Amino acid sequence: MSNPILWRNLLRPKKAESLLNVLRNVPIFEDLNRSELKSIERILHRRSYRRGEYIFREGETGLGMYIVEEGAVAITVGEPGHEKEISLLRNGEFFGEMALLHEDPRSANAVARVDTVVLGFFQPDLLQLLETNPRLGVSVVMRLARIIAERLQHLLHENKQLQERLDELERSR
Amino acid sequence: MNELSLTTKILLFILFLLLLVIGWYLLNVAGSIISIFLVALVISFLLAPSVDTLEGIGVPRLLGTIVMFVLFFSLVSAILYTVTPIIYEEAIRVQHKISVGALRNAIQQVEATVNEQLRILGAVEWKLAPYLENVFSAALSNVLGVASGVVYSVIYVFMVVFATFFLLKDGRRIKKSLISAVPNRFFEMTLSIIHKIEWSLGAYLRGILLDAFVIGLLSTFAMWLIGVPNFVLVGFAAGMFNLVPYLGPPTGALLAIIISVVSIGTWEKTIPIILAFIALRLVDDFVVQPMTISKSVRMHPLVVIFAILAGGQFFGILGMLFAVPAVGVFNVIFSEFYHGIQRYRPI
Repeated sequence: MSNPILWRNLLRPKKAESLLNVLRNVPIFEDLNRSELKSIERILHRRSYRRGEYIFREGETGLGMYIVEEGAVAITVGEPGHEKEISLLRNGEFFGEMALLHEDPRSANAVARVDTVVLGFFQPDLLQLLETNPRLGVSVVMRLARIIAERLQHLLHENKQLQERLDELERSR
Repeated sequence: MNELSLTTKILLFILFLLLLVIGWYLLNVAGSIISIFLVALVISFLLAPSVDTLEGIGVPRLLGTIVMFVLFFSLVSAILYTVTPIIYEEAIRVQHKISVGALRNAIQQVEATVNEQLRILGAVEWKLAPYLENVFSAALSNVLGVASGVVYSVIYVFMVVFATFFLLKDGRRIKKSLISAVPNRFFEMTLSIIHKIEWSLGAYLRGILLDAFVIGLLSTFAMWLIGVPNFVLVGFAAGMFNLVPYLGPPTGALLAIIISVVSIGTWEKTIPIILAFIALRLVDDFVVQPMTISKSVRMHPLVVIFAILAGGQFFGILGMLFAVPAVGVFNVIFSEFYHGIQRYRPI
């Protein structure tokens, strides 16, 4: 058996401090102390993607969020070949967090723009965290809820502005 | 949800058959090693949530593993230390009663009644006693024969303890490493399936064990109320055999009837015993099981009966005991795998 990833993971010494620094800058984990961050680190999955490789595709059932540890990930919409890039995420940024709360279909594609390493944080692990360490689990879920609430507020504000512009256009017609 | 195509279904079925054949081959070649690993896996599976909880409150994994490990095996040892002598003594007493001929008298009573009826009908005489005595003495010598394999058992237990410790301590790391070897395009699907299998297996194993424990306790209590001698032995047997659905109450009832007939010499407690076990069966079906075994992991009665027959055919009485839990485990794995594939669209 010569699977390099498997053996690297089995034999690898403790991960460097830099990983904790990456996590510290992720809004969902920013209030956590060092030992809590280490608990989170234990349940994360590190995955490597080659340039152009899809992390997930639109319409697929989502299972969790990803944090870019190293590299760049493009979030795109549309069918392959006709995709439109809506954002480019770099080190420390995260995506797919809605799937932590519900296994809904993904609303966009995520594709590695360069060779990229991401950290996956998945719903089953979050649920297990809520069972085994409720204080930490609830703290993560509360941060997640706050981020989603802020995003909703932002969307409502944008929606209101668009509605006002639409009304203005109708009046000027 | 994506519907699977016919080709995928056929491929899945072939994969299923292939796994069965490989499983069968492995069982024949390395049955005892696999069984050590499986027993260790089940125990570590049951203890892992507690170790995870300890780790969550800041106890290092190694220390948490040692604490839970020592607690669990102390508890098991304490139970074995207190319960085993009682059950052993009761078994010896029952065996003694049977050997001194009380059962022979009871059987001869039945035999005389049946022969009288047969004579009226003009049929030949029916010799039941020698046949039944042979069956009972063979069964009892089998039970005592198991005890002679003490050396093998000690090695087996040691290996199980050893494997359990490392599965508990490093299980998550091993699992994570194995998952890391899964190709990117199947990664999320694999993770989801593994989680669901873990959840269902945990629910199933904890459910059947709790169910067996409750039925064992209730049987013991019921037999004590009725006044059956050696009620602890009967309750223990009913609980143990309840790991095989449908087998706990009948086994308990049969044992209780034999013991009461042998000890008291009459059949007067037979009806109360049968009624008690019918009641226990109903309580199990309508009260205990709905509380202990999740609906999603219960099996169809036909599957259960088929599993018991197949287990008995291939592996004897032990096969009957473990066939249903084994099929339950397999059922969970297969259905989660099937639904997992249905839900996911690989990139």
